[in-house]
Amino acid sequence: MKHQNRTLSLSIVSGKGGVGKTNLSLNLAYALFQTAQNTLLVDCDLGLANLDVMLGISPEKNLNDILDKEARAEDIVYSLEDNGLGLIPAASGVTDILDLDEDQQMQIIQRMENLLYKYNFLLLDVGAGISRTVRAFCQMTHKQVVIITPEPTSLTDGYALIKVLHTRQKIDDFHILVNMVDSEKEARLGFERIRAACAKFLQLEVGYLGQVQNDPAVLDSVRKQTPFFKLSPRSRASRDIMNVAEKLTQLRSDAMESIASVPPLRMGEPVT
Amino acid sequence: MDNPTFKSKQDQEKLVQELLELENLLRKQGGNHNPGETRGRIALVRLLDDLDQEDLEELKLKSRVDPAWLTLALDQEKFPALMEMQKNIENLTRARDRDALTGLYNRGFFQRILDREVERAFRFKLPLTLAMMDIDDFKKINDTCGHPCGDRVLQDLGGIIQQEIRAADYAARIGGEEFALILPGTGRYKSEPLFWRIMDSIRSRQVECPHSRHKVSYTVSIGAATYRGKTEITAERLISEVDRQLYKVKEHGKDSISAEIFQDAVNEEALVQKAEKNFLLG
Repeated sequence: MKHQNRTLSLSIVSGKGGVGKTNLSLNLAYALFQTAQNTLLVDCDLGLANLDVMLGISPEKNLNDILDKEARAEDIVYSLEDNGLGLIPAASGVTDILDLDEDQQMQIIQRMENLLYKYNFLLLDVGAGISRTVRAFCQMTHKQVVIITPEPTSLTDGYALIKVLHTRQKIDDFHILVNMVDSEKEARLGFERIRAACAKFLQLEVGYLGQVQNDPAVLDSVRKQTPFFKLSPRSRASRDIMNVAEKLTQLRSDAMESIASVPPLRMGEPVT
Repeated sequence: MDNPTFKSKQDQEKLVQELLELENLLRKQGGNHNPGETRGRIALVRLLDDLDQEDLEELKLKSRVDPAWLTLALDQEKFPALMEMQKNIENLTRARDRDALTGLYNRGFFQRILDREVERAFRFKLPLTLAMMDIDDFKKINDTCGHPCGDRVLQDLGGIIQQEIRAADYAARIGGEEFALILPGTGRYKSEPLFWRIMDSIRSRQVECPHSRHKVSYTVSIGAATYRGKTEITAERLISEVDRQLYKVKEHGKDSISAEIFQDAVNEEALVQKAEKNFLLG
């Protein structure tokens, strides 16, 4: 019998940089792991790969090494926590993967398949913006998490990203996470604007994933190169991210049936 | 009216015979020719076999190949009947497609070609420039010097246009004093020098009035738009944009050029984006 997929894959994206995308991806991975979800985080931000900097680690292998036929998929995973929290660091060569032809991409994805199936969650930390690379990664995953802040530029860029992914890549499973707010009310207001615009102009419903409130613990953790979820688990931001993790876990259970036949990384139409 | 390409039953038989011969000949040459081209020729020969006016129309619409190309492939001595038919077809198409006064294409032909070229531009993502020009104050010329003089001016302009355009361009007289240029594969920056050349030639002209020997000079206004084949549009849409450009020139003192890139899709997208932004930031 063919393997039934149980891994929910998510692209974590933002229209503009500086909204805390990478930091939230990392902490979200820790929070998911905390709720007993095996999670693999892949740094797909090719321009400004800094998950390793954020963690103060320097892994030997990266995503590029999978191109080497001898390397095993397991070899390129850096273990953040034993038994179920892994990181695949970025490499400047990752664009090469996107430039491979469909058969070659398929081969690589197949070689990673057994690795991916060990995890409940696969998080791709994709770069900011709407580049071809961003769109190509988003096309591969089940759902997309769009990180915004209540700032006007973040709202417009976040919306522009959803619009492009929806109209060009036919992606329609978006979940909004609002970062850097002072209250849930402020986050809800920001979300409501994007939700209404998507409904009005794209006839698309997007979901509310949650918010992460401003918190000195966040800044402190970045300086100490340790995830805030680990450093200050009782902080406001950590509680917020825990709520998001729980929401995602719920989303995964709800999607179990629909993802059973869809592998965590899909090949789609070539992205131009 | 009988089909002018066949005068009698005998002629027709002779013609069919020659067609078969030609088809054979082309088959033999197949190895030396682009096979697609040879197939096209044979198909064309078959079509010509029982051509009537409607077929011809359809043929001209479907392919860029004018039946006139057959003269290139034919040997006068070997295929006299075909040559005869060829000449008939040429005369026929000429009478149908051309404007008698200026020798340029007429309005009907212009519309057919423009439809086709707009489609082609969209399909192959090639630029297409459409220009329309209008003789300034043409009524005044007619009123003061008479219609024969006006006709001279029209012919003069027809001659200038014919001389300035390139082999792949189409020039048509589409109304009384209105002319149009279809420039396939030509963007704004390549088309503008052509317009200026035409303007310059016109400015240096003096048309002699047939009655009074009075010298008449004239000017034109040109409106143009370049379609870049990015989104599908109709020929009418392009014409109305060119009309708008021409109107702009007429409003601003005539004797000039207004050329724009056709911004249909870009503008619409910009409007949508503005609406989205306003909505988001409300």
